[in-house]
Amino acid sequence: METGTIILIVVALYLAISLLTGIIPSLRISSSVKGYVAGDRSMNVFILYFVIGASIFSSFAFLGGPGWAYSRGAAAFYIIAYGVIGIVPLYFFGPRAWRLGKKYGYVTQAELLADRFDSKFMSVMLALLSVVVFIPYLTLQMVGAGYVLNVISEGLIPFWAGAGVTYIVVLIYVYFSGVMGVGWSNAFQGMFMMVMAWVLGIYLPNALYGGIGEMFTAIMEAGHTAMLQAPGLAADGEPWNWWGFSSAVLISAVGFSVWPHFFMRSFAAKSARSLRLSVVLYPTFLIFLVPILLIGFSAIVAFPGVEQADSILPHVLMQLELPAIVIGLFCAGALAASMSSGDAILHSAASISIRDGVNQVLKTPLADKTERLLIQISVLVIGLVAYLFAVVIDVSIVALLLGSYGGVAQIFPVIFAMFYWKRATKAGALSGLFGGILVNTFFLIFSHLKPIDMHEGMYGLAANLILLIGVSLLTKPDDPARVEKFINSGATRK
Amino acid sequence: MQSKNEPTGSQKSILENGSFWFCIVIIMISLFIIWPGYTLFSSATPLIFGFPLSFAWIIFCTVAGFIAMLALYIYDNRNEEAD
Repeated sequence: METGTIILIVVALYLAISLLTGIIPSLRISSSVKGYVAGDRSMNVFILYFVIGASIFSSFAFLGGPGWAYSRGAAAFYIIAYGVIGIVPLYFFGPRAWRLGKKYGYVTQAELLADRFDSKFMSVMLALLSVVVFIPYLTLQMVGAGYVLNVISEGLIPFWAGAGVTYIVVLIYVYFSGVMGVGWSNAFQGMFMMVMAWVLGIYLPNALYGGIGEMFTAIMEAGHTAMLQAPGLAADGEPWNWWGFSSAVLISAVGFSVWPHFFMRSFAAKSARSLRLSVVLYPTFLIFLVPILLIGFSAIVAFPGVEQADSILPHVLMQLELPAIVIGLFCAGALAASMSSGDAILHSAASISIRDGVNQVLKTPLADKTERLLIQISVLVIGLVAYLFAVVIDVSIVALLLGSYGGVAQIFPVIFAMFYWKRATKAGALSGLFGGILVNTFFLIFSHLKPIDMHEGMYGLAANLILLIGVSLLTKPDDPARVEKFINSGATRK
Repeated sequence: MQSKNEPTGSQKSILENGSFWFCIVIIMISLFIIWPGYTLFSSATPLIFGFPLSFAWIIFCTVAGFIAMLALYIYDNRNEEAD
């Protein structure tokens, strides 16, 4: 059989299995908003583990990770480093959110915040922020999928068709099954990616150099020792500074647990304990980034001078003349990375825009059935918008996404205050959140005005904290009954 | 951080609280994966199990974070009601 045909068959098989694992759960969940958005609060540890884990294995990890290792060396370790501290707050926030959700029916992050700080305005603004961040994020996942299929098939599959077919599958299972479809398909995709990552990450150093140690020795002998020294290289190839590396790790870690699509999975857990266990197990997923980075390192000496670092993985695979079935499997692995993040983002963007946005500005709240239907329709609309961006992609979308990390991190202080600081007030929370986002955006646009070369999100956080604490202390305390509800959401001691 | 629901007047010292120690460990790990802690382990050599020191160190910190969370999880399960 021809190489192209075999690759196509493998990819088609993968897509069919994804579709099946995504569709089947729709038979079991209730036809309510709670069923669609929070899976009737029924996710067990197995599914939650993959839902939480697969969110880092996006197109960025699969293509960008090796790209960073290839072009910037040790700088890429930051992708692993921030995860282990970034997940920790979810251990504390998650069970609290889960208990409140079970008792009062919350299914999104903004619902919690809007209730604690008595502000529909905050809910609508958070919904807007989420959609602004999620659409480029989703677009990038589609670009990743279309790109990989296009390169590997040597142009056989045009970019628009690759991205289109992949995301029609995602649209179908997200439309019908909601979060449980995301959960089950992520479990399949997650396992698949892990196997592909380890196989390639161990195979490439061995095939090209005879071992991992030999590979790193070869990199040093070729005069690239500086690359392997933390914090690695900056984008321009000069050594990166510690300010840049440290603030990138910190801001990503702070933002990690409060990404709206990530945080809201707390509501889908079966119990507080199963949520905790999935969070605890998360670093085992993180370790799978190690082989991903090894792939990038393996190309430094063997394939120097590849201009577009993000394409290093498909590039290496094409050079090696591997059997068609292996290339097909890799293709499917890259699609799995793209889809397992894309589906979660798509589902959350639709849920949040309707529940936290549209529903809050209406005079009479939507009926449950109508709300669910509207969320499903938004899945289609948001999917289509992101796809349109993907086929007419330009660089500004990447910049928009990178800028969003600092913006999302600004949610952290208000979440922390909601659970642990009684004295936080509505005015304090609103000014902190939006002051932080403004400062972050300002330094993102006018980056040459930064006093120190730190991530703009750090400046946002500083402003955020000053405003949150200062304005809260200057205003009257919020209604104690409402505040206590959130403060007392911890576990009962034996 | 989890002590909010203890009965008031609890005589338990903060040093007996697992969450307190956990937070100390996590702060330590945080400082060891950025400046200044990471600077001590930032060089490319020696190779540890084939990995440059800078890489092996990050892997080690990830494993350490995992063990710390696992310990807290076990501690919390002993001391808290399941729900």
